[in-house]
Amino acid sequence: MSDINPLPADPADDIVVSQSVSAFNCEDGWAIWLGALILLGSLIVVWFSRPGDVDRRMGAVVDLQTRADELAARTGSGTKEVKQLRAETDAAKKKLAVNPIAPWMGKLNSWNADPLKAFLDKSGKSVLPGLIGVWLVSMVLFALGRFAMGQPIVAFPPAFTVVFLLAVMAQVLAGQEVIKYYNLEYALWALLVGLLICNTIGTPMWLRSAVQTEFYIKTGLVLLGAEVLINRLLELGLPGVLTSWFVTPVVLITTYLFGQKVLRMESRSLNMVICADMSVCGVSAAIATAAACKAKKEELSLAIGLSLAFTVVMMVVMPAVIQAMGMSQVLGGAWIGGTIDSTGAVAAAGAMLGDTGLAVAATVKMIQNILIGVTAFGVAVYWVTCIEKTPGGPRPSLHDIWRRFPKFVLGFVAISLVFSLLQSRGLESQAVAGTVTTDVSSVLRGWFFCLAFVSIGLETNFRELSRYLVGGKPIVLYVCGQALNLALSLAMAWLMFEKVFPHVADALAK
Amino acid sequence: MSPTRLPSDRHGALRLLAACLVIAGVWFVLLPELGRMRAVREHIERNVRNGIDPSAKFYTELPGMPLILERVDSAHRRDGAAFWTLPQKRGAGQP
Repeated sequence: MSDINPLPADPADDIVVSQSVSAFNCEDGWAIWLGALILLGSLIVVWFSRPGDVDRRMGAVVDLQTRADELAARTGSGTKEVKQLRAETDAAKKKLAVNPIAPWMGKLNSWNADPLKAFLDKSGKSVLPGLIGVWLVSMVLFALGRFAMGQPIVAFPPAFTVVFLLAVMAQVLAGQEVIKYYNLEYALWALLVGLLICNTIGTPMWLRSAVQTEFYIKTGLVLLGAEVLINRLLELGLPGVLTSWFVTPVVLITTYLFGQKVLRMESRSLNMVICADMSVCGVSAAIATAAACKAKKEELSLAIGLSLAFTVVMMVVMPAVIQAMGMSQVLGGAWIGGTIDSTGAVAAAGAMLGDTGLAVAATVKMIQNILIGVTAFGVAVYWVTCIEKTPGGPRPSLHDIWRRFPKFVLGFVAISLVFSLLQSRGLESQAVAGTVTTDVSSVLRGWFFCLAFVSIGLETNFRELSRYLVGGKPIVLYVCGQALNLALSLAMAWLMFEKVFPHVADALAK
Repeated sequence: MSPTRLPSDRHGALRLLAACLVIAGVWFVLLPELGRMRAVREHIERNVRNGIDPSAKFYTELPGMPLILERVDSAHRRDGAAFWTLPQKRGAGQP
């Protein structure tokens, strides 16, 4: 927690709360164990369920890829035939691995007028077995973690069930098509559902054993590690790396310094979380950074609210501006990918430019997504070595750094490295790791984050939340940082994609 | 913070009920009406066609991402040098 934060210092407000029994028998440690257990268990099940004719199936994938490449070279990537072949390639890749766990990992669908449609998948089958699977797995795992840490678990199952039902309600609200279209993510509605209860009838005491914001967030972040693939970093070559990995840290650090030196933000952690969600990739970066710098729950909520509000505006305005200025799809896509916070909003805005704009925008954003790991690690190191040290005191020893370091970040980075390695070792390994992340870890991670935001709502009252907006500094910080981000990203994208590597645009358009 | 601050039971329950009614009105009446507007409908359908989930928080949540990556990978396989080599070093023979 920041030493200059004037708000009441209550350790229970922090995203990271030290409940250390030993380095790895604590909340951080159990977040790693649970994440690793989910991933390892899924990998084993999927590996032993591989189809017998996997070599023939891999041959079919390579054949389809070759045909699509040859056709794209002759006719360009935008033709119906090429798109069809690529869709067949993707379908063939998915057949390389079978995931028997997938039907038990449910997520809700979108709906327009009838909310019951949220409980049906695209083929019209009920997702209730999947929801029961998620509820059961999550409850058992978190109860196991609590038991191992010496916390009482008798009251946990009923309390968890209620919090889970609130999370389901939040996901139903988030699944409404218009809400989805405007990128108003479940985090906002989960928070709202929790806030409504806390600020009207009050959160009952018996529910508190399942209000475990930190545990859910950390376990979700460890699972997120499986989706942070370092090998995807080079997807757009040098221009992609420079557009995402040069501009983003420059904007993050400059905006943070601006917040501290010019705006004199009262809370360093709020400053850092806003900078990360604005410069890296919205909600997911905010969650990872908040956990790494031990931000307060209200600070995370505020940063996410700011990010979502500005994202809605930017996803509508930016494509219009790009088209009015006559920019190419590659330049416009790179600009959108580098600036709009949320990945989904980037894709929606990129698609308004065309297929190439969508491909470039989504890929630039994906490269930025990978920065989450580096950002979380860097912020955690900076916090324990610079922010948490006693003013005027000696530099913290390695032992001090290790003691204070949020250990779950190590699990997050380690899992990211393992899955990057798996995803780079040929088609078969890629398919096995891919289905584990898509069908299991990504689904559970989404539910864990949703549970975390319901929990934050259940512990927060409106008045405390509004105190952070007094003076408007967070909004000024966000606007100034985003202005810098817009200018630098456009300059770098223009330099890279139009001047230094102009053939990238041709290669992507073909 | 006072997470279990308890307003008077009756007032609290009434406020919760009022909030639920507002939510129901917005989600079951207003938003479906908005969703039927032609411009909004077209955008939603285009997103579905392109495999775009605008509420995705991470690239792995985008249903269309595998196809986008397939396209970018294909560009690498066909002309990988374009992504790494400066134009003057690509040689006269290359486009």
